[in-house]
Amino acid sequence: MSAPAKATFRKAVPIRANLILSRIPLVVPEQTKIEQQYHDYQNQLERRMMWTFPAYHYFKKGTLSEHKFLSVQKKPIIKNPDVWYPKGVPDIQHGRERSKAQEVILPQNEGGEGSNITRPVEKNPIITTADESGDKSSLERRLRNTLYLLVNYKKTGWNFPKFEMKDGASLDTVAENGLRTIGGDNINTWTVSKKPAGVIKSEDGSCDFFIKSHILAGKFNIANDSKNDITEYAWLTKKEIAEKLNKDQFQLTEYLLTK
Amino acid sequence: MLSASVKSSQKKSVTMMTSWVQPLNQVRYKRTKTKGSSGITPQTQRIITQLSVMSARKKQPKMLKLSKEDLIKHQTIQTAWNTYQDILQNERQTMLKLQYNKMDEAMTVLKQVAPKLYADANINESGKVFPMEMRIPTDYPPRKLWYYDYKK
Amino acid sequence: MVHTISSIRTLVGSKSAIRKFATTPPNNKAACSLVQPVHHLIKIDKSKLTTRFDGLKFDKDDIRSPAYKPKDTRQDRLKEHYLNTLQSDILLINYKHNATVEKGLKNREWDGTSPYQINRPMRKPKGSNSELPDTHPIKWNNIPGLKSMTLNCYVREARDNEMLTISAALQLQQLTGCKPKIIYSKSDVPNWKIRKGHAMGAKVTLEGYEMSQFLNTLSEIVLPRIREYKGINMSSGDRFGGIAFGLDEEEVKFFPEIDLNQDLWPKTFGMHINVNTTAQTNEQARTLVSSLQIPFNTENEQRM
Repeated sequence: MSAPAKATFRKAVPIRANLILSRIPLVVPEQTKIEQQYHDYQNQLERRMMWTFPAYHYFKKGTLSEHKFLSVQKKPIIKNPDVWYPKGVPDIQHGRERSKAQEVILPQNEGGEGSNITRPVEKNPIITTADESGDKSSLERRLRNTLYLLVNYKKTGWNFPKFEMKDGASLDTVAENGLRTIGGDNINTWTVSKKPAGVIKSEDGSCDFFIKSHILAGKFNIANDSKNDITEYAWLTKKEIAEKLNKDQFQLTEYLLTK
Repeated sequence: MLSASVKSSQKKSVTMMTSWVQPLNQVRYKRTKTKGSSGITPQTQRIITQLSVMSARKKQPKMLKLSKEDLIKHQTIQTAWNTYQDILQNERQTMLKLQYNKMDEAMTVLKQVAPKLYADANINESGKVFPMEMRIPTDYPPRKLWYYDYKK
Repeated sequence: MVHTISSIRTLVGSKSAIRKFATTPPNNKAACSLVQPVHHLIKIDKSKLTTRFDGLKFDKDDIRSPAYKPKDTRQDRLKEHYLNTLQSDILLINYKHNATVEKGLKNREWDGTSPYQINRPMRKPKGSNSELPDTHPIKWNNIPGLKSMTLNCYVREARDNEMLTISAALQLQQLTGCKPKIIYSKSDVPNWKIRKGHAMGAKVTLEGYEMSQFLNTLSEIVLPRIREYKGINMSSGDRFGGIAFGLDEEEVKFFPEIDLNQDLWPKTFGMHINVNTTAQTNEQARTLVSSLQIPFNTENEQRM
């Protein structure tokens, strides 16, 4: 009844669309000590309870590959009636000691060619060159964490990129187009939803809405037009954001960020 | 009919007599084929192998027999793990509840402040498909960490 | 063994009601008893009564049970990804402001115009043969997640050669590392020359780490190698959060377990893959499954 009348008289509130642009982790999170130990324990139990490996299915009888496989296997202790076994009498079936986990050893090819699938896995280092040099503008840092884009505004300091609303455009289009104007076109992002994930109401009545988005490819580079407003940008983890933002602002946005 | 059968039986008895009288000169060699497998085709042999791969026969290890102390140890570990998982689950749930309340608050504020933007935002998005480029994290870092050369 | 009444009650469970005498309801309904005989309703687990097989009475997650299988044997990267990133994204996508519970179709009351309607079972819902569940708005505690996966391998040629089901079962075992079950035809179908009780294929249900492992292999190794793979049909879904798709016998060969042992597999079998989720609608399930790197065929949707 009176609500529409009120709306016409209401002063237009300044609205800004903030973009929470994240790079999802490239590597699984590090295990805690309890997780590591429990997984290790369960893994050992699983190996102990595993059925015997049916080698006769994979290696045909009388072939060279069977000979190679069998020659590298460890032989179990054989039961002999004249011998006393302090750790229990051996119980062997299909060449496996039944009271222990079976250890299956794969024969390694000598000349270690690249195509050989049994070669040991070479793990790439988790600490990258960007981590070592402390380059915070690189997307290749902190592979285990989610990184968020923060920009340094000349006037207000470090913050999430924020954009003034234009007429007729929805929150997510303003945020995405705004990102292209300050960061260049060569960036592939995916907006999670058109709905805002959060809001901050300032004392002067203005509202900051947060739109979530993920970066999939490309690079954020400060465009020449916006170099006057923005001095630098950084991809930061939640911990690092807590240091960059002031306390109140971090508390208001903390729930949007993951470790 | 009857006479014929009588004749054959007589013949049999004669041959039996002779075999009993003559010395046994038949030699039994070592069996080269196993009893049942004489008629087995390679296809059937393949099926038998496949069945034996799946069956538990002769492949099961001994059952675990824990001492009282080991059992208590195991149960303690299991309880600790369950408690730890409960704590993690609770943390996740409170975080998600907070996120839900915040998005609810944001939409309520948006409805008051800008009804048009609210109408744009509050559309039904269920069925939205995630992009294929959003990859599941791997156990170890990939060779190429990031694809920078994206061109619009 | 002597059982007191209270111990029998604990055996029988909370379902046991003390049987009441048959009475006629006060509101002039037909004068017949509707109380079902109690001895048909109560199931008694007789294996619990004897002391002979105490070792078999433990739960499956008890280490003393012969059926014990260790879980959580290693870090599950798919689960971690879901919990860290996808869960909150899926919550935001499915969130709707001021959403309420959408009632599913329910059985209807009779209008009471005829005396024959007394004691009749309720009318079936309009446009459906059975009741449909309510759709609740997605909140923090009912975000769609993975429940289980069923791989189902139906071999048509098995009606002539039952041995093929063994190969199909072994194929499933090799792909998943879990023990498959042989499936049997449920009824006679003379047109397809199928008789009841004939082994027709194999199936296996995956949960936990095995499911994640299979999904990862599927999305990272198998599906990218299929030439011109368009993705899962957008109309796939059973309305209650299940999504199914298929792989044919040539596509199955891209699994590394078969690809590296090709001489062992002169014949492979296609299979249906059913993903069971806690989603309440097709759309929610599609969002979830697409977030696990399984492609969907979105071409037609865009054209429309």
